[in-house]
Amino acid sequence: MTVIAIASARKYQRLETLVVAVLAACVVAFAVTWAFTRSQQIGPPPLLDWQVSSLADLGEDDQAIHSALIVAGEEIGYLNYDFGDWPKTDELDALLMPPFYKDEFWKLHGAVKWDLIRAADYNHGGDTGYLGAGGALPGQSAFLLLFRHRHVGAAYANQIDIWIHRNVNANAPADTKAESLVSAGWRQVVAYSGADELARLKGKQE
Amino acid sequence: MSIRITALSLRAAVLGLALALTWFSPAVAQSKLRVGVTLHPYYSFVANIVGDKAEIVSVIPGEVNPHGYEPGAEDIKRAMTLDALVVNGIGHDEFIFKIIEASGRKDNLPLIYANASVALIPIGGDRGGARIVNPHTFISTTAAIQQVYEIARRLGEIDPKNATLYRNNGRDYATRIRRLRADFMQRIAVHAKDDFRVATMHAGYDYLFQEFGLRVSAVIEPRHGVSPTARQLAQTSEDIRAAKVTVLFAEQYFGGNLAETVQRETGVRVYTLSHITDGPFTASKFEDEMRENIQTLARALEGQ
Repeated sequence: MTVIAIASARKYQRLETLVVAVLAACVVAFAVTWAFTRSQQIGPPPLLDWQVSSLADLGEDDQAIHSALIVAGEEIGYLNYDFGDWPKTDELDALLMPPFYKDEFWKLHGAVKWDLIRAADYNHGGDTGYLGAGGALPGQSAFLLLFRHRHVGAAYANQIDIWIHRNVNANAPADTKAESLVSAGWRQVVAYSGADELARLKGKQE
Repeated sequence: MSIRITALSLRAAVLGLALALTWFSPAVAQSKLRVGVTLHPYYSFVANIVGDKAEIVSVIPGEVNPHGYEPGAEDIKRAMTLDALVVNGIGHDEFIFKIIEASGRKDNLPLIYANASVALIPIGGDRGGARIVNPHTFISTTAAIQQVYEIARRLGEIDPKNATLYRNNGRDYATRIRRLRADFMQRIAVHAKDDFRVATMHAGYDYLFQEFGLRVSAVIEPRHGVSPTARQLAQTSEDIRAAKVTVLFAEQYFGGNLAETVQRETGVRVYTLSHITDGPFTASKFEDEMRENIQTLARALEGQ
C-alpha cells in the first residue's frame, strides 16, 4: 500500500482547488458575457435624446392621432405611387381617412388643422410634409408627417417619418432635415410596433 | 380630387364583384399558395387579399378558444403543408409556435407577423400606471387596415407575380373597412356624450375604442384568462361607481357571470361585443362581426 505524505497531498489539493476556482471563474465570466450580449439583442434600441416613444411618451389624444397617422401615411404613399401627385388634405377627408377625415374622432381629438406644407417634385425628389397644428385640447402636440425622398418609380415603404412639437401651434418648419427639426423643437416619434414587441418577447426575428 | 375618388370607388366595386365570384368557385388547385392563419380575422384579411390566387388554411378548428389552446395532431399535419403562415405573434396565438416546432417547420415556414408595422397601444384602465401592450390589434378598423397592408406586402414578397394584385385587393378591402367606421362616425355624435363612460369585461377593445374616440375607464379582467378575485371584483365595482361608468361591454364568447354580477352591483347597462375568435372561418367574418360590434356601440351610445 502506498502512503502519500500529508504535505504532498495538501500541495495537490491546493493546485486542484486553484484549477477548479479558475474554471468556475471562467464559466461565470462566460455566462455573464453571454447574458449581457443577449440582453443587448432583445427589444427595440434605446431612444435618442430627440426621440419619443409612441407607447410610453404620448398622451391619449396624441397616441390616437399617431396611430391613425401611421396608417394614413401608408395610404398616402400608395396614392402618390398610383397617381403621381400628393393628395391634398380635403381629398384625404373625402376619402374618409383619419386623422384627416373631419368626423367625431377628429372633433374629439382637438379638431387639428391639417395642411400639405411641401410636396416632393416627382422628378427632382425632396421631402413631402403634412402639418397638423392648432389642436384645441390641453397638452396636445402639433404633428408633422414626412415622406422622405424616394427614387422615381419606387413605392414608399419605410420612408414615412412622424414628428411632434409640444407647441400645438408650431409653424411649418423651414427645413425638414432631422437636425433642423430637432433644433426647432420637433421630436421624432418612434412607434412601438408589433415587431418591437415580438423582439422583446422572442428575440429578434429574421 | 373627384376623379381620384371616383376611380378608387369604381375599382373597389369591380374588384369586390370579382372577389365575390371567386368565393363561390370550386376549391382552388393544390398548386396554389397555401397560406395558414391562426385567428379568424386573419382568415378574412387573407381571403380578401388573395382572392382565388391562394388557398387559406385555418391551422386550428374554428370552434376552439385560442386562449390556452393545446395543439393536436391534425393541427401539426396542416402546418406541414403550408407555404406561409399569418400570425398575431404578440400574445394571442402562442399555441402556434408549438405547432410550428412539432411540425418540423421552424426553419422553413415563412411567418407573416400581421402586427409587425402596427403601432401598439397599452391596455386601457390598467392599474398602477404601467403601460402594458394590448395584443388585440385585430378588433379594430384602422389598425386592421395596417395589418391588411402588412399581410399584402409580405404575401407579395413570397408570391411576387401576384404582388400588385394583393396590394390592390388589400387597398380595396381597406376602403370597405374604413367605410364601416365612417358610417358609425356619421351616425353618432360621440362628442355630445360627455356622460358616456365605459368599462369592459376584457381588455380586448382598446384599439376599437381609440379609433372611435371612446375612452375605457375600467377593465374588469385586465389579463387574458385571469379571473378577478372577489376582492378585485369588489374593488372594480367600487372603481366603476367612482368613475361614474354608465356602460359595461362584455365578451360574447367568454363564459361566467361576471357581467351580471357587476351589473347587479353597480347598475351599469351591459352590452356584448364580439372578439371575432369563434365560429366558422369565412371571408366576410371580420366585416360581419365588426359591423355588429359597431351597431352595438351605436346602441350603447344611444342608450337603447
